Amino acid sequence: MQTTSHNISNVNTPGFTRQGTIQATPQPQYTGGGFFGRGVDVQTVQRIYSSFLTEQAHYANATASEMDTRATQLMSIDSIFGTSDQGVSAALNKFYTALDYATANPSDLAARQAALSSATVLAANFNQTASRLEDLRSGSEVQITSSLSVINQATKDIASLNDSITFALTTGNTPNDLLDKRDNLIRDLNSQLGVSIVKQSNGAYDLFTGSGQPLVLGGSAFSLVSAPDPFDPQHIVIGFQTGTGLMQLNASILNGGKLSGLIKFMEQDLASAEDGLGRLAATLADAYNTQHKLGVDLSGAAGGNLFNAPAPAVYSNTGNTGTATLSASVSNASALASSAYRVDFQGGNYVVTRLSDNTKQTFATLPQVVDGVTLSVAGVPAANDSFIVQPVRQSAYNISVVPTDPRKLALASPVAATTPQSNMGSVASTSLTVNGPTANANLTQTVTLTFTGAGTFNVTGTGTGSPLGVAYTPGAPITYNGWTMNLTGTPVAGDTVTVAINAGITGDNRNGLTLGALHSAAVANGSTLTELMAGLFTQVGSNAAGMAAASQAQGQILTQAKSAEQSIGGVNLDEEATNLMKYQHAYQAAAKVIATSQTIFDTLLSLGNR
Amino acid sequence: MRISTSQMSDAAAAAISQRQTDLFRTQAQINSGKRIMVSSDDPVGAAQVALSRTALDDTNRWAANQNTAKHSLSLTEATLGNMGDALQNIRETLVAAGSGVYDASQRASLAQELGHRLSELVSIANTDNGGGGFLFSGFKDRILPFTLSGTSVGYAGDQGVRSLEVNSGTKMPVTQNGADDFMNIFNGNGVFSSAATVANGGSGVITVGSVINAALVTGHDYQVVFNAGGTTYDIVDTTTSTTINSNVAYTSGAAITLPGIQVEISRTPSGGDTFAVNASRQTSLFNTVARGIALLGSGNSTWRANELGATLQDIDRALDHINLKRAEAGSHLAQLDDMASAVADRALEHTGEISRLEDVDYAQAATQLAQQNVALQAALATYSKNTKLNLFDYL
Repeated sequence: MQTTSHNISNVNTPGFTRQGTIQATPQPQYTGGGFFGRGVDVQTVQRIYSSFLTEQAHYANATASEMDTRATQLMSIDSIFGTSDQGVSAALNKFYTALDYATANPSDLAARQAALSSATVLAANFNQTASRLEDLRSGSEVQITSSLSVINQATKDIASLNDSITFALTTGNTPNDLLDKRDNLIRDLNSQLGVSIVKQSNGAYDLFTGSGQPLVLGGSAFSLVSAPDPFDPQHIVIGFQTGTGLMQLNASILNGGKLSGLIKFMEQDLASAEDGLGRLAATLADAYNTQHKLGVDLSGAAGGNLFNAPAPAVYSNTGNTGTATLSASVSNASALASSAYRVDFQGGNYVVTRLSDNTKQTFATLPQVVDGVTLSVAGVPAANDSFIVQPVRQSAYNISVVPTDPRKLALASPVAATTPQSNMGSVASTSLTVNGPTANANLTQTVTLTFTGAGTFNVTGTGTGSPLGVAYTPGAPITYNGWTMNLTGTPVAGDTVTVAINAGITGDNRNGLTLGALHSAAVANGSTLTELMAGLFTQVGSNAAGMAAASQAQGQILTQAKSAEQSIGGVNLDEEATNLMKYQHAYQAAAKVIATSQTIFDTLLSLGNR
Repeated sequence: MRISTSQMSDAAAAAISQRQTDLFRTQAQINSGKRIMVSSDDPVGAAQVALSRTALDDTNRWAANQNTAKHSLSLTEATLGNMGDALQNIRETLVAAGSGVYDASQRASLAQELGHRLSELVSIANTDNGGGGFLFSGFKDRILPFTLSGTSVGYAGDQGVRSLEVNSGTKMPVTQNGADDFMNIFNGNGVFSSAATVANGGSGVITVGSVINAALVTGHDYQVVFNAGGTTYDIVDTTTSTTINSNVAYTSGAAITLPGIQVEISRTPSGGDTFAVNASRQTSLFNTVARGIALLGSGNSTWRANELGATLQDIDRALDHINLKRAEAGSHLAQLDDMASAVADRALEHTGEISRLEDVDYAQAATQLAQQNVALQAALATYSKNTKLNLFDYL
C-alpha cells in the first residue's frame, strides 16, 4: 500500500516510473504434518520499466527538440520576409515605379526626389530585414549560451547521480527513484543535446555526443564552453576546452537537441537567408551603379554610384601562423552565389569550399575567380591557415543610397548626335547608346562622320584613329569611343553626322530608360532581380514549411515513443485504485484472520474459566 | 494498450492546443482575407505572387507612361495643327498678294501682316510642354527654342527625342523637336528647287518644274544661262562647273530638260539672265515665310513672280511636312489607344492571378472554421467527460 501510495503521489512527477512490490511466498515451515506456509514476504520494490522504450523516447525527444527549434527559428525568418506586398519586394517595385516616373519627367526635380527617396526606402528595407536576421543570429547565440549552461548542469548532476547509484547498488537493492531521476535528467539533456548512453556494469551511465565525444564518464562530467569564433570574434563557437585549446563542435558532428538545432539553423538556414538577401542587394547595387555611371546628371557631370554596397568581407583565422592576407572583390556581380566560402591552405594549394553546398575547388595559385569573386593573396600562408570569405553577407545590412541631391540622378546620356541643316541627304541618327560596363575615356570627344558618297564616310575625332572610307550600311551599328550609333537614310557626299557632348541634359531621359530596363534584365546569372526575390521567397518558405512538417512528423514519433514508454512505466490512477482495493481487501481479510484467531483464542481461554 | 493518467491529460492538452492553433490560423486567414500570410503557407504560390505583383506594377507603369505619352503627343499634335492653320493663312495672303492688283503700299501692309504672322508662328513653336519646359526644344527642354530677330529665326534646341516604355519592351517617341519639325525641311519639291537671279534684266519667269525620271536625278546644282539676245541658253552643272548643253534654242514655255528633271521658262529673258535649278536643301519654314515677306517689299514684278512661285512651293512643302509630323503623332496616339486596352487586360489578368493565389476562399474558410470549431468542442468535451471517469469517485 505504501508503494501504491508512492505511485499515486507521483502521478504527475515528470519522469517517474511506477513501482510494484514484488511479493513472494517465504520458505514453508516443516512440521511433522508437512510443510506449512508462512504467509507472504516483500522481496523488493521494483520499477516497472523498459530501458529500450525509454532510450527510444530519449532519441525521439532529441530529434524532435532539434527540429522544433529549427522550425521555430525558420518561422521567424519566414515572417521577417513576409509576403511580396511588403518589405524589400514591395520597396523594389516602388523603386522601379518612381524611377520610371522620373524618367518620364527628367527635368522635374520633385520626380527625381521621389526616385531618390524610393531608392532610400528600398535600401532601408534591405537594412531592416538584414538587421532583423542579424538579431535572430544574436538571439540564437544567447539561446546557445543558456543551452550550454543547462547541458553543463545536467551532465554534472548525472555524474554525481552515477556515483550515488553505483554506491546504492552495492547494498544489493535498486535505488528506483535515483534511477528515475537520472533518466529524467538524461531526457532533459537530450532535449538540449542528443547523447548516446553506454551502460557500465556498475550501474553508471557514460554519455557521449553524436560524434563520440565523452560528456559524462562515470562520476566525472566534461563541460561544453562557448568561445569567440576564431574567424569573427563578434560571434561564438562551442566546443570542449582541452589542454591544447578549444575542440570545436560544429553542426555536422552534433545530432539532436536544441543546441544542435540552433547551430544548424545558424550555419545553414540563417546563413542562406542572409546570403540570399545579400546577393539580391549586391546584384541590384552593381547593376544600377554600372548603368548610372554611364549617364550624366542635371549638371552634366558623369553619374556616380547610385547605391553603396560593401565589399566582400574576409576573416582570417586567429590561429593562422603565416603572413598571408587574403582579399576578395566582386568582379562579376551576375555570377555571385548565395554563399560564404572557406579558403584553406593545404599541401601548398588553396582549397576553396563553397559553404552552402561544400563544393571544393583547388588552386595552386591565387588570384582566382570563384563565383564572380576574385580572391587574391598577399604574403605567404603557412600550412593549414584558413580564411572565411563572405562576399554578400553584409550587402543587405549595409546597402545605402549615395546621392542626396536629386540633380545627381544621372538620367541623361553624355553624348548626342546631330545632323546639320546643311545636309542634303536624308541621313539621320535613330539611336545612340553608351557602351558599358565602364565609360570610354574619349566618350565625349567630338566625332564627325563626313560622308564621301552614299556608301562611305570619313571619321575625325580624338580616339577614333580617324579612319577614311568606312563603308556605310543603313541601320548597321557604328561604334567609336565607347558609343554605338545607328544611322538610317541616304547620305549625299558632304553630309555630316556629329557625335558630341550632350548639352540637352534637362530633357534627356535615355540613361533613365536604360536604368528602367534593368528591372526586366537578366542581371543575376540569367535571372531578373524579381525572379531572384521570388526565388528567395520559395527558398525561405519551403525551408520553413518543410521543417515545420518534419517537426510535426517527429512530434508524432515522439508522442508514440512516449506513449509506448508510458504504457509500461506510467501511473494509471484507476489501476492504482484497484491495487489499493486489492491490498485493502487483502488487509481486511488478514485482519479478519486475526480477529477470527482472536475469537478462537478467546474461546480457548474462556474454556479454562469454567 | 495501457494508458497512464498523465498520458491522457497530456494527449488531451496537445489535441486541444493543436485544434486551437488550427482555429486561430483559419480565423487569421479570414480576418486578413489572405491565404498566404507568410511564404511558408505556400512557397511556390508566394513566389508566383511576387512575380505577378511585379508584372502588375509593370502594367501600372506602362499605363502611367501611356498617359504621359498621350498628353505629350496630343499637345504636339494640336500645336502642329495650329502651326498648319497659321501657315495656311500665310499661304492665302501670299496668293492674294500675287494677283498683282496690290500697289506698293498695300504690299507693305501685307508684309507687315505677314511679319505678325511670323511672330505668331514663332510663339506657336515656343509652346510650353505643360511641365515647365518647352515642347519643341528637344532634350534642352528648359531653353526657349526659337528666337525671332528681324525676320530671321534661330533654333537653340537640339535634335533630342524623348522616348518612354509604353508596353512590354516597346519604347515610343513621345516628343518631337523643332529641328526635325520646323528647321530642317527640304525646299522646292524635295528633289530640286528653281529660282531666278535677282539681277535678271528680262521678264523670264521659271516654273517650279517636275521630276520626269527619278533614276536620272544627279543631285547636282544647275544653272540655265541665257546667251546674248536671249534666244539661246546654256545649261551649266555648277557642282562640277561643266557646261552640259550649250546654245539651246529658247521657246517661251517650252520644257528645259536637265538630267531627270524638267523646268519651263516663259516670257522674254534677256541675255546674261540666269536661272538656278538646285538640288533641294533644308530650310526652315520661318525662313520660307521671311522669303515671302522679302518678296513683297521688292518693286521688281518679275522677281516677285519668280519668288512667289518658289515660296508657295516651299510653304506647301512645309505644310506637307507639318502634316506628316502631325500624322506621326496621331498614329502614335492611335497605337496608345490600342495598347491601353491590352495593358488594362493584362493588369486585370495579373490582379486575378494574385487574388487566385493569395486571397482566401471565404466559403471554404468558413466551412473549415466550422469544422475546426466542432473538432475543438469535441476535444474539450471528451476530455472533461473522460476525467470524470475515475475509480476513486466510487471508493
